[in-house]
Amino acid sequence: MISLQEKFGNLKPGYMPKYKDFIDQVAQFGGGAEGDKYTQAKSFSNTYELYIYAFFIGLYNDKRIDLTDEDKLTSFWEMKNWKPEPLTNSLLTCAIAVSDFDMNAIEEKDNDFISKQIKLVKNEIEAFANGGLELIKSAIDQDPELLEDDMYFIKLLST
Amino acid sequence: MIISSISMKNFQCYSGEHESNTLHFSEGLNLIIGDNGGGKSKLYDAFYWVIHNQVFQSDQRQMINTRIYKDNLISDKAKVNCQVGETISAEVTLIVTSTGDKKYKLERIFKAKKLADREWESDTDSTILISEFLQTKWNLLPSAKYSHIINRVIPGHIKPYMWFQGEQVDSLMDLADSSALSQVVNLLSDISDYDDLISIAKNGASKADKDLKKHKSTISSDEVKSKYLNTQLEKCDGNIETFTSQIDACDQQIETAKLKIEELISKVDDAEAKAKYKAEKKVLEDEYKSLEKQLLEANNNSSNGLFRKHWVLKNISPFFKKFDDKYKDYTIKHNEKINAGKANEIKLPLNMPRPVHVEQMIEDESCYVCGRSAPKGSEAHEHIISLIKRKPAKNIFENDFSNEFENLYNNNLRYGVAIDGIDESIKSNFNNIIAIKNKLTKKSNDIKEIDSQFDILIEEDKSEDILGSYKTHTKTKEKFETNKTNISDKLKFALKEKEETQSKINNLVKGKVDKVKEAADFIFSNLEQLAKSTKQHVFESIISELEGFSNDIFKDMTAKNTSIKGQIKFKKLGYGVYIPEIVDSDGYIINSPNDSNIILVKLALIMAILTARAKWSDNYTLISDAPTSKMAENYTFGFYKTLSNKFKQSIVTTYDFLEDDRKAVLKNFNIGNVYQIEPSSPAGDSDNRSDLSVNIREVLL
Amino acid sequence: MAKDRNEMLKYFLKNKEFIVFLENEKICPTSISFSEPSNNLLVEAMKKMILSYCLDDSNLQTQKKINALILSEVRNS
Repeated sequence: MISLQEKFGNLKPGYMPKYKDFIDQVAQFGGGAEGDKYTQAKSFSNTYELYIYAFFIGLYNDKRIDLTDEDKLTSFWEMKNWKPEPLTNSLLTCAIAVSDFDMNAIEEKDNDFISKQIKLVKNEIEAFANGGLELIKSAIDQDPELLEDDMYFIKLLST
Repeated sequence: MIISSISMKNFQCYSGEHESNTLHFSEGLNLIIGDNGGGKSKLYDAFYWVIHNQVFQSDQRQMINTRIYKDNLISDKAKVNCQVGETISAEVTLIVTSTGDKKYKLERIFKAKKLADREWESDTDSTILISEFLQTKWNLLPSAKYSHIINRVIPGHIKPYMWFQGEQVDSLMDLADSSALSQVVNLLSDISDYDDLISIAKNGASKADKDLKKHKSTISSDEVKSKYLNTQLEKCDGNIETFTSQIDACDQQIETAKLKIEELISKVDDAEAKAKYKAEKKVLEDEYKSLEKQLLEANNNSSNGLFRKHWVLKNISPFFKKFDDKYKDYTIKHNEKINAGKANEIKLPLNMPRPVHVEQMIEDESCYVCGRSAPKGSEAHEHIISLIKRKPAKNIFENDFSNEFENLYNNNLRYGVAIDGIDESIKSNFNNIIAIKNKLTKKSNDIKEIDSQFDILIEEDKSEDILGSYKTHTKTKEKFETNKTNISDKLKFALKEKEETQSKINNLVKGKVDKVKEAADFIFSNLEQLAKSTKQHVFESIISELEGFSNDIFKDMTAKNTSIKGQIKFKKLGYGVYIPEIVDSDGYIINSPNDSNIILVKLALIMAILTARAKWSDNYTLISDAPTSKMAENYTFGFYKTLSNKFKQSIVTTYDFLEDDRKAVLKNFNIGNVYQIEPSSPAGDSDNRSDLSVNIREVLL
Repeated sequence: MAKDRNEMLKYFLKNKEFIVFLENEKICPTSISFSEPSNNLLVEAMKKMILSYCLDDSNLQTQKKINALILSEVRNS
């Protein structure tokens, strides 16, 4: 019995290596004590938090980066580990909604086809997340002081 | 051992033979009462000279050796009466009695031969002889035993606290010397044992650490890189150690500067107004800190809000709608497939409505969906029956993901309602943060205002030197605070670097790590930490014990004087470094202009040291020359009472109780022998030292 | 001053850091003594260190004894 949840859960979406430093700058690597987050000026407790955030920023601003195999993305943690789980599921539904993922077709086709369809969703996640990262990073590169505003990432949602 | 007697022969102003210059002592408070210039200090010198071969030279205000002082030790009167060619000597004899009733005689002798008037050929040094009283006579002991006996009279390390002059008290317990208490703790306890344990564990830990590193290098996938990383790790360790000790040193400097500043503040004019400002500032600073904490919490909340309050879904509605549409489409097609080829095209999914409801509809002969009646035998009734008879279509789908898609759909449904409240939730969080920030700005302004008012007071202060010192110490404090911040940053970086390097090393390891080596590393490093923290614990418990003792004694000493306030507080400056302070009931440092108060505190501290765990007060004699000399008269009663209660034997010279009517008070004490001494110049010229001797008279109470 | 092993152990057991460790290991501090062996290697190593020190062993001897204890415990586990 094939489980879509399992297949999506095992996805490891990635980011372009050029964002590595930026991610280190704003997210705690591999988690850490919540209390340290603020004093270390890290806005995100985990890489996946930033990634989820970037996806939505990319999505809301329709900023996507179409990626190819040559981009050699850096992956981090399987999606099944991302938290909170309902939020990850919402991300998935958005990616499914905007992709060519064919919900009916996969019920009739073989595993190979399903994998390809799942790849379509993964592509959307990566396209928007990297788009979002690009948006955030370029804004901060232009004005590094933005990060000093504790509310910056929340405000960004409204622009 | 207690001191049974002392006798002097031609020792300084005590001219004449031993017989005329003998004082006997018993347990309790022994007093030698005399006016200034009456021979009190020379008597103290006599005690000191027997044991240490030194006397106090008042011109230089220091103890000097017989080799330098030479024939000045000998009584002027004896020297004048001595004929050319004759030899005379200065001698002091001390008789001590051990708890086992053994008696020892300690004699120090210094001889000089008169060559001419004012010309003396003296011994290069004095001689000491110690005898033990056996059966009926004194038997000279071999000199090898001398140091042992002397040590039993007064051990060198206790001497500063047990034998002192009144004017030394101030320097004996320098309240600004941060190492003074540590020295005392070292004296009082076996705390150095823990240093040994620390050293054992530290050596073990360092060896185990090296072993493990070496071992990990050998099973590394890249030995060269591992070795390089190990060197890096050692560098990190070195840096961490340096930075930690630098931070500790900064802390001490900051605390010391703070103390000085506090002290200065209390010295300047308007001390009361300043204390008020200080109190107000403290309240404001506490409030500021609490606001900062609130802000930190609010900020953490808001960054968590992105996920926990799902603010990140703020603009999601159109995308949810898009999914809903796609899901709707999917459902239609999915159900079409299920129903395909069936006589009755039923668009509802299987088991929808639920079978239990369908059964009721059949029974009621009514359709619950459209509300129309469906009497038995009618087409409608048959239709309802067909619903329950439906069987799942077999093998329509390769995979049926309908449940999973439905779960995703429901997941969004649950969010749907909450999304509407996101704007409001973000707004209220923003407002909260803005409110806290405003409060913080106001508090910070209030603090600045207090500071400027305070500075005005200080500027206006007439005592210019104080202003100067105040500024210097404030600057020092600020400098070290900046240093500390810088070093703390470096430390943080070094710790992070260490962690990263360690994980790099671990990542290179392939194959199994030797469990014994791993365990040794763990055990020894933990033992080292344990030994260190235990030492700290022992130290702190001794310190707090000492603090308790000091305050008990201070209370006793001031029992009769309600005007004395304050208590002794040992302030921690850093690891193992404490400083004694006198504070009022609110914890503010009192630096009273009333010197005697400070002296009393210092004496309390000294007495606490002597009566604390080692119980030196039970085993040795306290000898002090005019300990109350800097003390206001109304405090002396408490001091003597405490001394007489807490010490097995004390010998004190003093000008207190000179008048006979004041001696009555002595009956309140556990008193030993009391003598009154006065200078005697038979020819009547009290300035003529060559006619000087001392009259010793026992006072019977 | 003669070194009193029980006195030293008493101070170790009053050390907050150690108490926290023991709590985590579910060991009652009052159960630790020189006469009762415990199952915890760190506790045993600490006892060995105090014991050896109070016997006036040299630093190296003390280290050796602790290492021997670790070796036998790890091999037996």
